[in-house]
Amino acid sequence: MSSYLDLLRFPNEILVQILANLEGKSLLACRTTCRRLDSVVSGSVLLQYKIELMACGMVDGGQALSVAEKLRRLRLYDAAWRNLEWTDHAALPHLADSEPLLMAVADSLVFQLSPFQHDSWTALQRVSSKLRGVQAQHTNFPECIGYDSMLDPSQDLMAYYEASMNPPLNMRCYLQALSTRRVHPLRSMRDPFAGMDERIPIEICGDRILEAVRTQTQIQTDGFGSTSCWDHVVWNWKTGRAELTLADSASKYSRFLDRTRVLTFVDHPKCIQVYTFGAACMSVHTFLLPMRAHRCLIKPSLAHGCPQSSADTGYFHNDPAERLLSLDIHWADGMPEDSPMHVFMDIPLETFRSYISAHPTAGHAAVTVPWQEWGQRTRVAQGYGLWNTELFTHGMRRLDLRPSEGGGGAQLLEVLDYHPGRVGRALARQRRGDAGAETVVEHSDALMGRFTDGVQTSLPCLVKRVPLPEEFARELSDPELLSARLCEDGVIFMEMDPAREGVEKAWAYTF
Amino acid sequence: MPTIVSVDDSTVPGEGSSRLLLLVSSDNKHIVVEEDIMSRSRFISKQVEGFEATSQRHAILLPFSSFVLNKVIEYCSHYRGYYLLEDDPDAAPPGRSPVREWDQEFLDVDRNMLLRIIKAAHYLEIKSLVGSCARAIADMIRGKTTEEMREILGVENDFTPEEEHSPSSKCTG
Repeated sequence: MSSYLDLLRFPNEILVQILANLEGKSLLACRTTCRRLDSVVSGSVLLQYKIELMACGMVDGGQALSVAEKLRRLRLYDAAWRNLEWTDHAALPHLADSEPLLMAVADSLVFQLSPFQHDSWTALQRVSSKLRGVQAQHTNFPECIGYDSMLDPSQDLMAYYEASMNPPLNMRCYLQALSTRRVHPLRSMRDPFAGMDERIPIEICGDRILEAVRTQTQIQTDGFGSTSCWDHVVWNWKTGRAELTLADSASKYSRFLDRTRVLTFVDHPKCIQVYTFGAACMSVHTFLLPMRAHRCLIKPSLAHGCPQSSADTGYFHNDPAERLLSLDIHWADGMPEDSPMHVFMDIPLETFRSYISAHPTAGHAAVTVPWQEWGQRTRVAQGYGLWNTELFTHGMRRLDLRPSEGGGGAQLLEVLDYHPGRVGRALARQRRGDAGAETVVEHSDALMGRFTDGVQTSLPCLVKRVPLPEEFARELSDPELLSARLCEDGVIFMEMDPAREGVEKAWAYTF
Repeated sequence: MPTIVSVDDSTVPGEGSSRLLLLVSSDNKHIVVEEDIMSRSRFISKQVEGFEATSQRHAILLPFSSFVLNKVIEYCSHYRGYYLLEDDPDAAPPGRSPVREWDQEFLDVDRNMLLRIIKAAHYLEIKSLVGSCARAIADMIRGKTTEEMREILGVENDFTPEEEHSPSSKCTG
């Protein structure tokens, strides 16, 4: 009974089933334990797929494909990003025809609407992808269906907000199936915030919708002017229940951390708060941010108070692929002249989550996380502050438009890939002297890191510079007239027309 | 003379209940269990089909101890009458076995016991139990270093020093 059971005598089938529960990193460690497990891992398509998913920084999309087919497509996808040769492009005509407001980009879907009375329309465009077998698709609706909207292609869900004119700005949320444009079959009949003055959709996460609602307008005591109160709310679109209300929250920006947690960025004092709700009672965790990001100071505790500086603003977003939390802090006062205006701070979501689960403090308690302990990969990177980070970060890849050597406007598209797995793999490939080691590993000044101990270092990343597509090859006097947005497997370019203050051209380049 | 052990005293075999099976463990314990409880096991189901075909019933000999067998029977009794997708021979196997809280508690046993249960579950073809055990074993080694994994899994490093530096070289790229 006490004899030590030899796992290696088990049939491969059981071993694969055990190992299939592990993620890529543990599988790699497992493979180095002994020959038998090495051969089990290399012999299993499923385990190979898991390892390569990790190395490519991807997550499984859950399509109904065989694992072998998924692995094949994953390798093609990875190669396509490494080579960055645009294989397909599609014009997005509506953007060029009118003066639309670009409302949402989700995965490879672009949702636009033009709310102008004389020319009101809504368009939904699916950008094609050879690798994933997605066909380009354009759907136009002659009428404008709302003021604001959110898309979740994974749930075939489109949420849009429409106001009735009587009484003014009485807003309702409508839920439709993206594919059929009919009322979504799973939606609840109830919209708990129907009738609120103004509602701003923020994010859909599973059954839950996060939005900001304006609850009341207070006339100021002197009788002049008024202030609005905004509540951040979470409600369940399948049950119609309101689940979380952050009444009159000072939080400026909110995002889902996962299905039961909301992250909010509080302006005063500068901290991130995480609200956990759902079945268990609600709890709040507060994380302090470096007050002067360029010096990376962290206040010892909330109780000591944080200097208030209203000039500082910030916001954050989650990487669409759910790997990263990026904070973008701006500050204005007390800044040395040569400092950048913006600081980006990237925290791996896993690191962040582990802090929340490791500190089960009671409601409203503050958790102070020493900067160094936020994880090896946590860093502060100086940015150029040109764009909204949400627009150019996707899956730990960043886009920059760079001036050409000879000066002038933006001429080169620079893709910085700072996913640690992909960088590591490229380094290994380079060391082996592989013929296919085409990627340059550089220390780009675009991703400069400064750490608490004062060490300033640049971060290793893969840099790929590609000429802009022909359609944009002519010199642009003002680089800000061109914007690019990363989508799932390509880039969407938009060129602005300064005369009309609208988009002149829009093209998507995909693999 | 083997001892006969009744598994669950509260179950009175008789009216309305299914027929009884006699299972014999490797330590020669005879365990009487209702056929219905063990129907989750493909192995037992096939045996029972054999009985019906030949209209002869006999004891089923199993290559593991009564200690392990009782644990498996406890599992099957708990899920008696429950539909678990993984155990449905006609359903497509789910990509990932679901986490069941009761299973986690049930499998909170030492490493050797866990390995014995998974081996027995594999022999008896109870896919849901194999899946839950596999998850529990994976939990023990997740996030561990190579050296820690060797200790937990009880394996020896049999790589040559050269291999050890690049055991993964053939698969990356």
